[in-house]
Amino acid sequence: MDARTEKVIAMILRLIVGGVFIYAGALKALDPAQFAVDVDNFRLLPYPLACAMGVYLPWLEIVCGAALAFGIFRPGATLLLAGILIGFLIALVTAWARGLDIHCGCFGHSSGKSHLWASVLLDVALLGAVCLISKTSSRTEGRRQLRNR
Amino acid sequence: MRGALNQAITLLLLALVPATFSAIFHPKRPAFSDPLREGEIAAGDVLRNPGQFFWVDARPDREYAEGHVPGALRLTEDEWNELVPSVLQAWPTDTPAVVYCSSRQCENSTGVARRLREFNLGPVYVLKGGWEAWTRAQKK
Repeated sequence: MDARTEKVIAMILRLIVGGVFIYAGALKALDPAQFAVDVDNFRLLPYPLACAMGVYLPWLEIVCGAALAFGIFRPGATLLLAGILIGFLIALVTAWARGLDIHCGCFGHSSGKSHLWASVLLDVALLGAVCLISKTSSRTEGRRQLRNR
Repeated sequence: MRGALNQAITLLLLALVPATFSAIFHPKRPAFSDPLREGEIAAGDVLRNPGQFFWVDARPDREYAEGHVPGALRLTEDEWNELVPSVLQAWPTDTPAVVYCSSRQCENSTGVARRLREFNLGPVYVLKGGWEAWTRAQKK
């Protein structure tokens, strides 16, 4: 694959993944109390901390999604998004293993009827996309530095 | 890598600004105090009316042996068939039963309470926070 095609694919991926995070974060930021309940349902955190996550996490997703989509602070944004996705993955898998009858709340109320395994698959797909973006970004950066020498 | 970390910290701080506004001013902001779920009872409420409940301990045998609520009988979903007859025999009709497990994170009490409700012998509650909350409430 030539450098130009790779760059275009990386840009499309960035826009899609960034857009998904902006959309998911905005849905949750509209109703932080509901998202706090969703976080609490996983029974991994004390309730006040679940509330804090319910308020903070949607905005972190929006900020990181926007940074990724607009190409600002890209390495930092991919690092954080990968961290968020790994955190979600651990929460989903442990909920699944504990047989919790809950929904993930990944897209606010609209994810109400989705199954946990579907959320796990989406999480893994997004994590793959974030890793790919990070890889292509560092390769593009490497090429740019070589050209500048 | 260091640049990425610095950027990540900046983004973390940037997200903190709208999140703080949301926590203070959002009409749908969460109340940071822990509410009772349906079918749950707080350790403080139980302690105010001691002796009015039938206690069921849904923890493993070892934890039960280390300490339990006075008068509590053991019942777990894994040992349901062996333990449930003695529990049903000891349960005074119309006396509220309180089921507990180790802590807020355990699920055993919820499952046991759900199955006990099917007998319709009286109200069945799950002790919020389990044994951990019970011992903490007693120290207060």
